[in-house]
Amino acid sequence: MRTKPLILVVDDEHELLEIMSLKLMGSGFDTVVAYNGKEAVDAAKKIHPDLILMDIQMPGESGTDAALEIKQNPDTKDIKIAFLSNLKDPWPQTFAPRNDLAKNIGMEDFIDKTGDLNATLAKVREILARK
Amino acid sequence: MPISSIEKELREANEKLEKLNHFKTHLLALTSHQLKTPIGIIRGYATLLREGFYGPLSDEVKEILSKIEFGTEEVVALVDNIIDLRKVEEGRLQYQMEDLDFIKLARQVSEEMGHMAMSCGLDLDFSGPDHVVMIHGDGQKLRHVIQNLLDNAIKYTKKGFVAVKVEEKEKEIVLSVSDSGIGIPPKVMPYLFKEFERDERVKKEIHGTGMGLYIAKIFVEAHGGTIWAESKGIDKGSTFFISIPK
Repeated sequence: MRTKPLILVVDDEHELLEIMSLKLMGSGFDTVVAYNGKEAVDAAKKIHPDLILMDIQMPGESGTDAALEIKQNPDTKDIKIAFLSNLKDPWPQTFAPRNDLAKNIGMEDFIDKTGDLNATLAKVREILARK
Repeated sequence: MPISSIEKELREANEKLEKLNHFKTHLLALTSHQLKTPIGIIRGYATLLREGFYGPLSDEVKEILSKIEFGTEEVVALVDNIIDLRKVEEGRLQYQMEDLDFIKLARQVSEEMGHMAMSCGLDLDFSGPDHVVMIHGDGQKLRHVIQNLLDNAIKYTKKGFVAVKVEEKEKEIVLSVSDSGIGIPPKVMPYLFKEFERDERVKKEIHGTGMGLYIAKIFVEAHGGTIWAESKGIDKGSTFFISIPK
């Protein structure tokens, strides 16, 4: 039985994982980290987090591919995923805004990684409160 | 030289320019990403330190950390402004219009920038209606506008205050950012919202690019709104207004 929401944070930058995990843990969440897309897919199957914060540009499988893989698996498709990236144009071949594109492919949102940490936290809370 | 040769040369020159342009855009996107990652790390650790995640700190150290956060925010804003400007030039700036609570947005941005104002020895006050005021707009772009106005107010005010006020009118919502700073001389007023224009008095001592207000104007006008400034003159502070239809 989970007493706190569990968040999987995925990023290839160890320092950013530490920053995000500390902030989330200090704000009433449990966190698990993954360093690339493949680890994220495996962790999603294993722990079924309440939310995945997924970086996009990572070595190997990109965050976008990993997120789509999780959404295509019947066992993990209901896990909420938000992209957490500092890319201004994560999908340069497309023209729609980042949030729209993220939602169009079944994700919850797009969060700017270089934004204020407390603003990110507020966004996480808002996403978790969504039905 | 025959016309066909001139045409050929022009076509080739044009192709070269297009390639160069594409390379410039690609390089800009790549640089901004590479720059933002370490900036994010610096900012994140500074925030955690200031909030006491690594143990208690003196007020002086907290103030220094706030200044580091402010500095990193400046760099991020600069990079974002450059990218947005590039998108405007290329005609591929998109707006994500949605129904949003403008009061909540303005309050959030003011709170986020409050500690930065504090680190510069300034009070940042927010006042506005207690109720929800919905508008149809792009939250990210409007956030960027308010950030740019506040960033300017903080930069150009050495002591005193910065105040954000939101007023609900019959058909529009008006946000103003007032400060007790260096003011705006009448001769500068007509050029305030032009690209790369900056007040000659401060060019050397206050860093900036002259992009913030230009981009703010583009974003506000895309919402069917207006942006303007008022000042009683040198050293008498200034107030910037944006008006967005409800």
